[in-house]
Amino acid sequence: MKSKAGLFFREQPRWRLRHWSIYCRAFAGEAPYKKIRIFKRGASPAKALKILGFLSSIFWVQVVLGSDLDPVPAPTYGFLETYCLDCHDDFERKAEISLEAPQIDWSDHESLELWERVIKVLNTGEMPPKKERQPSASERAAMVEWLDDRLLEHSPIGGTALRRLNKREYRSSLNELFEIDYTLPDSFPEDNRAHGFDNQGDGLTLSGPLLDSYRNVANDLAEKLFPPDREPVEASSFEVPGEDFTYSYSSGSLVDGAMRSVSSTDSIAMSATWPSRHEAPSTGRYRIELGLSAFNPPEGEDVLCRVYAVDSIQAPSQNSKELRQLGEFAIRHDQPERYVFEALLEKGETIALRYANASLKEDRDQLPEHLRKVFSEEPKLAAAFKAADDMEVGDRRGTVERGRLGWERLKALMESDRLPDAPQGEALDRLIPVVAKNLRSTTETLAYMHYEEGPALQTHGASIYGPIELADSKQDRYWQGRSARLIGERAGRTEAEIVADFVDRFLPKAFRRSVPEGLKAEYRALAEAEIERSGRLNDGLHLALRTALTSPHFLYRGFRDGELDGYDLASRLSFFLANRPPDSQLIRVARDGSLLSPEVLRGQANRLIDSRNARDFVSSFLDQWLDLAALEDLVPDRTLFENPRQFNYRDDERKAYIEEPKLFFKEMLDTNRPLEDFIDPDFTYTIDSVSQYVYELPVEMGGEKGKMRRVTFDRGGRFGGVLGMAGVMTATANGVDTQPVVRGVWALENILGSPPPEPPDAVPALTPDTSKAVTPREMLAAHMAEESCSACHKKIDPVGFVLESFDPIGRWRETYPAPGGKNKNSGRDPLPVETDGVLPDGTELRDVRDLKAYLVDDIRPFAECLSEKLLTYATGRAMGYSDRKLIAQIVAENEAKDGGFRDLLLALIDSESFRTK
Amino acid sequence: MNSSFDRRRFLKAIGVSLALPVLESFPAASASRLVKAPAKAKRLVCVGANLGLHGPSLFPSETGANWSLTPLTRPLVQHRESFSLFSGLDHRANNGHNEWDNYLCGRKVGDVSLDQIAAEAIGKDTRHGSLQLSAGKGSFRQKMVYNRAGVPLPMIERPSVVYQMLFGMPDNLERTEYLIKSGRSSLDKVTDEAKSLRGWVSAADREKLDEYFSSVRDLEQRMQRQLKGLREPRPEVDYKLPAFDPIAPTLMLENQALMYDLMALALETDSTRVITMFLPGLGEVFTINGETLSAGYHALSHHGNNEGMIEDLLKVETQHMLLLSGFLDQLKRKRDIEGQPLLDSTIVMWGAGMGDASRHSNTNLPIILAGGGFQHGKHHAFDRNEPGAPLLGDLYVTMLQQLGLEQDRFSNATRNMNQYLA
Repeated sequence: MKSKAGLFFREQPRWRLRHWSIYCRAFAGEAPYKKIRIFKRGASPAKALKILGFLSSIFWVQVVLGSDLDPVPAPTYGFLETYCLDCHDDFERKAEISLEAPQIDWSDHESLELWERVIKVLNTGEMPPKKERQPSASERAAMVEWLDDRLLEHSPIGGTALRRLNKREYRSSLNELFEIDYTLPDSFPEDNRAHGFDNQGDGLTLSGPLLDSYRNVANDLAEKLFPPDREPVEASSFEVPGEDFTYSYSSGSLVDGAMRSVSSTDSIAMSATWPSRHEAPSTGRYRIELGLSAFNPPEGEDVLCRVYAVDSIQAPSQNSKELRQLGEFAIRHDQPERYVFEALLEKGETIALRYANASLKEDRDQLPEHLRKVFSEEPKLAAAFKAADDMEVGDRRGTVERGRLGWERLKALMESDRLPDAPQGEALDRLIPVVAKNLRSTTETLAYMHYEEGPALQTHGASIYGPIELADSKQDRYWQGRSARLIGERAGRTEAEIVADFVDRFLPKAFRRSVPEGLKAEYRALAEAEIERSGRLNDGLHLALRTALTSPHFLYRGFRDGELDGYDLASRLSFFLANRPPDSQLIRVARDGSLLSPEVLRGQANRLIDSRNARDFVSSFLDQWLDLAALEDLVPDRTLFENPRQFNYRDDERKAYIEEPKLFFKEMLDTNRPLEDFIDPDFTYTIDSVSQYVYELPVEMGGEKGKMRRVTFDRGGRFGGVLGMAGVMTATANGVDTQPVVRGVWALENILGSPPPEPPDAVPALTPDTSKAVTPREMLAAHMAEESCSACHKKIDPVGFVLESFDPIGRWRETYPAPGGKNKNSGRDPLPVETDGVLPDGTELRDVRDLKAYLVDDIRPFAECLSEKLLTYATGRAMGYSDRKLIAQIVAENEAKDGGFRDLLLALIDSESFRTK
Repeated sequence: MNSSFDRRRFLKAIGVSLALPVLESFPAASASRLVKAPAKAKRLVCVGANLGLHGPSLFPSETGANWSLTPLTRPLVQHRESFSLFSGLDHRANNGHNEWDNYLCGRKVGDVSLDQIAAEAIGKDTRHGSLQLSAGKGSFRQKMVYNRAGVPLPMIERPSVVYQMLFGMPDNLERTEYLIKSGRSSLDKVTDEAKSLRGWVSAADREKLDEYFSSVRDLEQRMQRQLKGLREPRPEVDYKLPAFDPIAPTLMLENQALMYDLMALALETDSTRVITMFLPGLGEVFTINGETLSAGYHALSHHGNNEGMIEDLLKVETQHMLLLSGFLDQLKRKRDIEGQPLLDSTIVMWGAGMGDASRHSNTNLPIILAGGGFQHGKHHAFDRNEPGAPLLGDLYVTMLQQLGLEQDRFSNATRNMNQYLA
């Protein structure tokens, strides 16, 4: 016997294994204590075997006590036998469900889910099916009560896994700690998502590479805040001959070894010149010697040379208006003279020179004046422009080429026999705006004239010597300021005092709670030992800082089980509503314990909701709940845009899609709107082009293009609310076509709150190809025929079909795109979008308006669904049966007193689910 | 604080804390892609030119082996049998500036790029899994290489930094060593903290803390390797860089020449097997053979079919081709361990994400494919409007297969172009 059992042990999965080991014992002759079902039907050999197995397992329950299995009491099992097991036993397994489990392992997550589904279908009356024998009301109630007790008992509220800071929270924690705006390196790892969110305890794992990234960031910050001593740098001399001066576009021209500059355009790329092979090796003071001269300066006027500090690499993208000016020289001689001055250059900077008072400037007001001046000096030039204007050049009539080519052409025209008379008077008045209209092109073309004829600033060379003395860079000064805030005044205090003060103040902030004296002493000892070793105070502070930033106390939160203490509650509240660690006010009420009282907790929640930081919460929560983050990368198919000039999902439109739900949600929260408004509101926020071409709303003319504005409309329409927002409908499609099943499942999970279980294995995902003459509906009809599919698709499909009215970018449509895309020659008519359907409870839906009405009619399922998402996001764990029961109660109470969305959120925050780890 | 990510600071940060070669960070999951059979090619070089090439001056009218030289193929004439020219390939993506970046990604910008897929398989045994270079500054925030997480990888713009990375010791060697060594006492400290926390968290959270302990152990080993690697001798090369980095936009061609030299050295010393180089296309006005061109490079590319501008544009593009030709020369001269020319086992692709810069069109991309053990010498022309016309991604599949990867799709491409190169 034993050996036989042993054989089964090896081959059977866990549940089976127990099941069968009992079977063996039962066979050994010990009588089962109860007889059911045995004579119910003609016993086939398979059934007989099954029944024996079942009987024996009950027997086994008596024998093996104290296991994690909980026996199902006889009356309950009787109920299952009578009303459920005909379909849902191990043999039939309809919809892949078997309830043939005489004992239930309540510690198993899957069995909790299974029995929660059972209680749900019993409550709604979905099961047993209408055509089958129905239990009496009292039988049903008894079953529900038994299940409810078990589920409550075995899915206690709480149990968030120790929570690591996710990438968002980590970055904002650093920013709050040091009052900086830190950018994590590109290589910093992304977080896993669990239960739909990126901040779930069980999804946030830690790995060697991630810890390495934490270490690298900690090192980087410590290097900035407590830097090592500066290495001495030897001064050196750098010679820049005229030909080593560079320029971009048409900002300079080298003539006889001197670089000429002729334009006073603000942008460096369009006016200045700078050395191509020089950059300051370190931040410090340099002695700069320039060789400059003026070429054909205007009568009685100096050439003004301004010298700026530019980034040696970024120079062409910089603008003189925003640059540090190092010097200014008035030049009047045509022979090079030396100009010497001292200036501070940051590491990597060099000098740029510009002819600051040049009459030529790429400027709408100044260019016409300049033209008038040069035309009066050289009327032939006006004639040449006029001639060019009358000519056809390629497809661009009247355009003189930009830069040197243009100047060459003008010169050729001026020498041509066919040069017309120079325009004068009104003709000249007409010509000037035409020429000035090509602002950049004309400026660059004229620059070449001035390179040849002047006036020009000439740079013959530069010599740069230094650093004469080292100086702090802008970055150095920035971090010195931050460092001073961390440790206060250094002067007049001993190193030990500075260390102690830093540790005392920094650790509680970093660890978000009061820190025991022992731990502080350890950090002081760590720092002091390092100071001892290296002889430098900074090295000790450096080590203490980077240690704290890789400590579990900083990287994790929620070490204590059960009800949150003040500090953990402050962290949970603050990371939830402000996406950052608790501020000093929260820490204060955490320390004195008052945060635990409902009044203070709600007061603090209100404060955070009203603060600027709440935008981070709204943004992060909606990016994930409604998957708006996906919109950033989505590239809609081009064939969707019949008229791309009007609307083509360009940057401001994409941004409007992403921002609309956030502004909407914020108003819902700020003004405590009724929850029904999530589904059928009379307002939204968007930009004019989306308003007009997506929502088909009348648009007032004269608004600022691309500006988000609040728009209102009548309730009960096609658009509006989370089910009608273009961004939401776009996020649930793929940019090319729509899939009713995908949208249906999405809506069940995120709006209606009844996510269907995973589809059975072995069934390929349905991807209807609407380019063929088969509607998705026809394709899905197959599902309804297949019984194992129909249970779920009865729920999914009607919702999915209703949403088919929205095309892949959320516009309303009555027909599918014509087969063959834009090629209208295919000769086939576009297929109609059919949206009507029937919900499992018999509600008939014609289109999305009926679905909205249905949801508004009883808003509780949506409110519960949203609440569950909010609490999942806030607590970092999946909600269990007990949580959901509590949520239902909170939603019902909120509804009973006509509470709005803000009331609901506050009640959720003040709930046991939120207050328990 | 200045929120823009300063490249110099970044490089400094790398010096301080990331001295470990990049190859460590590749996910192990992809290792199985490598087929056991010996690959025909071992190295991959992809060059991407921001402004592409002037199509009519590049593509011959003939296809097959007997094509006549065009202005832009003339500089490559001595390598005629060592490269193939493709016209009519693209990723079937949208037009416009932003889409340039999909050159190595396929249809969607941000999908893992060709070189990174290759690096996962063939970059494991070298000091650097892959090298990303840019011949000078690309100020349009252009990106070319994306890792599996969709993160664009930074490109090194200074030859001196590349040289230092490949053959030099870190600048701040002592500081880096100090940080690693003192970092150990930091790790001991936080481990102690985690141990004391372990005493009073729940059983489930003890598992979470175990993650922390194993991460610390992993990190200790990483730091150990990093410390060891710091003073590890670098390959010795007989090559001297000029005293100053030609980083100014006007010196882009000079920069490019140095980068090609360093790329050849990197491959020869087996410091890496995957290299990409981006060729920026800014407003710089080049002086070529003593002649200053009539307008900036970028402006020239928007020639609007103006003959004078095209003439000057071709002067720049001819330089690109001459530099490529010089690189191919080097790869023919330099030998691998088996004594074979490097080029025989190095796939070199020169191309762009833009087919016609004058119209910002992203179709009909200029693609030159050299070396890598392929049969070359032909011009392959395709009409993208023909049903079944190959995609650029099909060529990428062929390249990956040549490198020994079991790969039968790339982005929107599901075929290969083996028949054209065998």
